[in-house]
Amino acid sequence: MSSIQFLNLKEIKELLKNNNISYKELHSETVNLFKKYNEKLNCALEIFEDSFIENSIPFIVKDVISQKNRKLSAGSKILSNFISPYDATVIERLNFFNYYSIGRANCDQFGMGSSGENSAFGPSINPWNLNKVPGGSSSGSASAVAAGLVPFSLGAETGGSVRQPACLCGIVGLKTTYGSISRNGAIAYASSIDQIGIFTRNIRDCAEIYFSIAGFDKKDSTTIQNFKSYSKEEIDNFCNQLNNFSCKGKKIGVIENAINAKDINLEVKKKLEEALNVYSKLGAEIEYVSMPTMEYSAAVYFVISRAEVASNLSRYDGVKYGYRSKHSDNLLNMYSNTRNEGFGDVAKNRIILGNYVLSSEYTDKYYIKAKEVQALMKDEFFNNLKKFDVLFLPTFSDIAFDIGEFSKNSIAIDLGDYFTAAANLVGIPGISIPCGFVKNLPVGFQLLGKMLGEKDLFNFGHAYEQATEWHKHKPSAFMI
Amino acid sequence: MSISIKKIANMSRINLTPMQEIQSHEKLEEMILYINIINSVDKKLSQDFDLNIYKNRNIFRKDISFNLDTKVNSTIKKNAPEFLENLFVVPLLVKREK
Repeated sequence: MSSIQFLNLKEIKELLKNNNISYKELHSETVNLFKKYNEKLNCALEIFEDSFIENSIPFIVKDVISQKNRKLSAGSKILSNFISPYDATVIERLNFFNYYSIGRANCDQFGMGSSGENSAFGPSINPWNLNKVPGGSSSGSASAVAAGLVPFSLGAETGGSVRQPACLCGIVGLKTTYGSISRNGAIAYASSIDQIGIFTRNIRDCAEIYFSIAGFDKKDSTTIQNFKSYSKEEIDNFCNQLNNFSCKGKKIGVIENAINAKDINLEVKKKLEEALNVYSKLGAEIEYVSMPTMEYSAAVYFVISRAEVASNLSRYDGVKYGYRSKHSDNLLNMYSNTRNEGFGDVAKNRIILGNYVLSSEYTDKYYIKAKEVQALMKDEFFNNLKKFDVLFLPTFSDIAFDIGEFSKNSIAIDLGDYFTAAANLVGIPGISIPCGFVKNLPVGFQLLGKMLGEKDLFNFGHAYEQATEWHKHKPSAFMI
Repeated sequence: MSISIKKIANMSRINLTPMQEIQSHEKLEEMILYINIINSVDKKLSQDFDLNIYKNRNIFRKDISFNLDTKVNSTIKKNAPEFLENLFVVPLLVKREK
């Protein structure tokens, strides 16, 4: 095992500070790790051997986030040769704090998928078991961090594409408050609910990266206008005080209908209950709360996300960039053939559903109704977050499933969005934290916070980590 | 419930093959059956509910035109499937009568 594999940011910085390793050696070792394991994991679409920046630490980026002069494929054939003309804001901000991207991580096409199997470049693999999916759509980002190849990675989520793969890969995955991180340079799926997310192997690293990239950006008018970026000092101060937080007297609301969901794996549920016991022993007050609007979260998410993606993906028409069909005798056929040949089946079906719910006969019945139910969900979540410091629920109903298991039953896999989509629809932050193993595969629980309540999530998450050791476990299946 | 998959695919600007039409139709029907659940919701918002939490204003850039610099232009050219004299080349919309 390489000397840098599985190290977290603090450990890497210590090694560098003590001259146990140079920045150049760190870069070379990271490249070598990907060369050694990427054939098995397929977590990276490309590694930039020439990307080294002195005094900086490498990470990897989901291939929906623009990196200047690098390919930006969104895991899709339709953009397979597109070169991005600029860096996304998050890349610029991480460069400022001495981090640099070492590659493009594999993902489901345009963020559409929950397994990692919908990439045009082959599925990513779960490092805990090479027959299992890592989850999706930020599959490669999760797989790379879980395998210890990089200390952190960036993903993006619309309905759980960071939290779900984090859960299935046994790592921390953060979905941030809507508007806290700039989406400038991120390929849009559903613009009103997309957010860039972070994968790490512990809470402290997650906090550090979040504070490095959060803050208003004039290039993204959906970012929160009075939310200023953090300084290095503020980031260090918060991370250093994590150990001072106490759960005593804090209130955790357990979403009853989620933890008792019909299809939840009972062994997974047992692990979640054990996690609650940990919080109880730490002094937190646990109360079960019913949230009926959650029953509609998947359906509302399907309608709103598909409607917005139908609009956002209409730009891929073969005119200005991307793949163009060679079998077209006129312009309209060129659009239609390009899109049929360039998009995968999942993308096409979502676009079709999106246009259906937006068509004049059905707008009121589906799209407008979904927006009304979304407002009801926000109302219910905000009211409950006035009573509780955080809400607790499962991230996913089961452990990682086999590659190909749901290939003929896509709605079954989509229904997993039930646990995660609500946070996206409401705009609140959510974090998935590893809490054990079932059949040697990781399990995670989820905490949801108030708007801009990421500090609460980090505090509660760190407290859990200090009382348990799940975040220290490492997969070895892929190293054989 | 009858869905014209051809009509929706046309709206989506996707040319489905007959086999793809059948598969897409099945998937669409399956989805619609599920999402209909939202039409059973009959609740009211609480009185103090406010949809606009942050009261963000729209930020407008200055409405000034500018020429793209040659560097950006070259990236556009590099990414374009077909590009000639600063124009994107596409098939004709309608063929001319000879």
